[in-house]
Amino acid sequence: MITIQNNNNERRILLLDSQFNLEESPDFPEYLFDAVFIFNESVEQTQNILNDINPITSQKCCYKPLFVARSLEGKMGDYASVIDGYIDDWNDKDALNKVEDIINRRNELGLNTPEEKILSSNQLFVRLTRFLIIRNNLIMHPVLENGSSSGYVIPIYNLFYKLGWYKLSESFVFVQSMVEKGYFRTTQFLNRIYLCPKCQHSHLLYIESCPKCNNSMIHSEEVIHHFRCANITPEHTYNFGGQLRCPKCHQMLHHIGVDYDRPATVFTCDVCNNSFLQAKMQALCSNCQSVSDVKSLVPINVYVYEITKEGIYAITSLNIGFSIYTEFHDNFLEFNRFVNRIRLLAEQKFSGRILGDVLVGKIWIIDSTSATVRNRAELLAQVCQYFPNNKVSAANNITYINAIATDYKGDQEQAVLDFQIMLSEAIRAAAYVLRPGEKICYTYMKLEGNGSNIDDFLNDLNFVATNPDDSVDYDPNAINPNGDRQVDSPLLKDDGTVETEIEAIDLNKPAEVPNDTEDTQESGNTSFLNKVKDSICHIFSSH
Amino acid sequence: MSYIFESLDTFVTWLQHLSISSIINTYWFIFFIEIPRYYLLEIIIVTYNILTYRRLEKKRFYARFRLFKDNPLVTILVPGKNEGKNIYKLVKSLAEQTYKNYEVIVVDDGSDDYTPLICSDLEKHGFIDLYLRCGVRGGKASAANYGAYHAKGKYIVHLDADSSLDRDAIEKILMPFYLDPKIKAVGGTVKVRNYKDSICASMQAIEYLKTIMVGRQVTNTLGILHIISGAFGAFEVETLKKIGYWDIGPGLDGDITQKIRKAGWKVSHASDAVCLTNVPVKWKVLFKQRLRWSKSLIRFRIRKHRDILYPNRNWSLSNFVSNMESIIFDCVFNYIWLFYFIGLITNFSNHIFEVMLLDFLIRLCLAVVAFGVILTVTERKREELFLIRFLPLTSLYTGYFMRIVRLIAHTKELFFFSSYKDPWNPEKTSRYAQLERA
Repeated sequence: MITIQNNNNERRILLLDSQFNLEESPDFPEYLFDAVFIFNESVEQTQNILNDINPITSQKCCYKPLFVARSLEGKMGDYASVIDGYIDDWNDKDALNKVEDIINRRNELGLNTPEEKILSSNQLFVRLTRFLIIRNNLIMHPVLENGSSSGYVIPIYNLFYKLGWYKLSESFVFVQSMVEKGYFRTTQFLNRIYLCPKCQHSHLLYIESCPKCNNSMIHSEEVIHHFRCANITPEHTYNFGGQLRCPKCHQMLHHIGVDYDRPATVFTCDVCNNSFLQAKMQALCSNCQSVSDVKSLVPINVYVYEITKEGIYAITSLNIGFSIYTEFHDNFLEFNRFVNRIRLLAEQKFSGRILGDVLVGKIWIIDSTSATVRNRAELLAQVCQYFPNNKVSAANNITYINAIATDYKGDQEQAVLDFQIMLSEAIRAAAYVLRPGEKICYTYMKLEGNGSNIDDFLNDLNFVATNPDDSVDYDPNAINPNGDRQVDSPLLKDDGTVETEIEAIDLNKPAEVPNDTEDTQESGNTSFLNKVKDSICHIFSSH
Repeated sequence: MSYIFESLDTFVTWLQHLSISSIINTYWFIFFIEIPRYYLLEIIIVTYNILTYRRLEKKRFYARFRLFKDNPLVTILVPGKNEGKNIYKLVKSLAEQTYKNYEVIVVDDGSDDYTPLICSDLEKHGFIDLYLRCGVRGGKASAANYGAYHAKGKYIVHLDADSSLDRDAIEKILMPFYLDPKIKAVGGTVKVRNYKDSICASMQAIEYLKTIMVGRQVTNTLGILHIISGAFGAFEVETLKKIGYWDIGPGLDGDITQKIRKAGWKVSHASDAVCLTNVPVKWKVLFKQRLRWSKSLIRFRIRKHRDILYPNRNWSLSNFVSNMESIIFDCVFNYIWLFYFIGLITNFSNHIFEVMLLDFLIRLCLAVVAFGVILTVTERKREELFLIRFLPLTSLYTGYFMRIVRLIAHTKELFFFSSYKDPWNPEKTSRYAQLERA
């Protein structure tokens, strides 16, 4: 059974009690429901349902509140980490509050639009971390879990590891890079554990083995020293019908410390008959079955992580290093790589290997108070598409375009002019992302002089010009030439708090506006733009 | 100054009055005991060896050929306490050996310093094949036995940790096993590495050359070799097993040689297999060391292995002579020397200075002769020539110091069994050794 009911706060709850292909069902689009309640009393069945309905596999229920039957409390194992509550009735006070909390927090963070399908493990981790941020679970406390892959696991990650979504090494890399960027910080040291160097699993069997032949068929034996004849051999040589008798002088041994003692223990290999004092310790991985020396095991410090304010800001925005744009748009570069590229081009330019001018175009949006606005995904997507042969990057609330201005005749001035024209066209094409009171601007920088001022040039990249070369104001009639819906991102104030823009909630606004005339006009405009773009594209070549 | 000239003058006038027969009468101990045994015999045997060198050389060539064809695994056994600092030097000299098929076993007899760290590190890096350690000290014999039990080789080369080997020493010490299949133990030549450290060390260097390099070559040729040095000796493992490895010391090297001889096997000496070792540089330390060594003569030759002297079923002439030789020359003649010396002083109380001076001069002449013998035998003449400046002192060193040390040691051991109280062995083992008279 699957149905939608309103709760007392007029939120729509999707109720279901059995497995249902929600993703492909056209009857239940994403915007029809605000929360999910699985009212099945069976642990196995609920887990099966949750295999489909969770933040990763279900785009429709991505960050939505998810409830299961109260009788399942404490029985769900790893699945508990994606469950928001155990309820009998969706009008439960706790449930009502929880739904409101989550919806408000999503709106606050600007994570109220449906997500794309997961295509890489980094997207998965970002998605799960966003899920945690929405629930305000900013502390990621690894727990020691029997049967888990690496001993200490963050439960929500571990659930999807078990479902086969990622490799362990990817999660270490993700967490490490988050820590390096300052998005996570360590709050408490838990333990230092050693993992298999090949597969990073913690299920290791420790084996004492012979240092010569590596075989573990060894036994240890005490050595007996008989004082009176200085015979010193392993214990079994003394064994004589349950008594100890010296094999050299055939005297019986009576009293430890008086006529004999046991000064040492020695290992003997039963395969190669080698004797040794210290057995070689090896670790056999029960997952990948590799045998490694204990010294080569990988030490990992297990910490409790906390998502920092910068982390919340970065992870909920598209600026995160491994954003979807690095994977979708070939010409998108992360900003540090973009800077490196400019530096490289500058070197080539100054050594005379590039004839054209190195240009960097900058596009940014300012609001009514002349403050810059955070980068918007649509603007970046638009610019990436608009300059397919140029490298594009985004940082510091600015979108960058790199170009080398030269045409076939070597006429550089014309090429620079063309670049300016193209930037002007681009901001007009992207004007649909603007909100009332905002203004989109561009300027460009030209690399000049000699190699000594390259650092100044790169430093200037971080700042916008007070007098932009061109700007476009908010136009309520502007529409997206690609027909995508407008998406909003939150603003981060100076004190680090996230401020929601009221207008951003109105999701369908651009879709309501267009009428026939504007549509034709816009399509004409698009074709014009494309024409301009096609004609200019071959002029700008990027390395 | 004038006093010296006056003394010399009286000495010369005193000399002029002496006839050859009266000199021989006065110094009968030197002429009838020391010269025949320590000088005449040596010259004859060394001459004999030089004359038969060619014939031996051919045999040795074939022995070497058989050795390298057989290529047996050799266990190099290094027992010791707190010897960690010396081990590296030793294993470095082992790595240089011409004979390559060997394993190194180091036995740590309850060291209380950094030895375990050093040795396990060397073991990890492959310099040592097996490092064994006893948590409590059990004495040198038990340490050697512990290592010997784990030996995989056909032969064991027993080394002191503070020694190091010439690069052909292992090859040379193994050769006698292939010269004569009855030879089951071979001693090497031990020389002094730190001979420049002090006069005491230089004196010992001369002594080692004379008693070990030349002396043992002589006893070996006569078939009465009675000791294989603990610092450098090779044994066949099978034989060691049969005789029950080492017994409690001090002087366990002499003891094990006796045991091998008693079992009916031959022992040999390789005077060209050279091992360098450090000797005490202080007279006090040397004195204690020699007391310990000398006591073993009484303890083992007279007490433990006295059955060699009995004409029983197991009696053999060479063993009897070998044992008697060391008992008589090292022990009995020592006491006779004491009476001779007392007699000399009382009879010639008027001319005591002249008598002692002549005694000194005679011994000096003999020392020069002995040094000549050393130089004909040694393979490193240049280094040995350094010692020639200490020759005048040898008459005092061997003639008096050594005799007095031996007298004290033998007397102590004969009447007070003092070797059982020596801290060189742990008390727990000595107690049993004394009960067993072993």
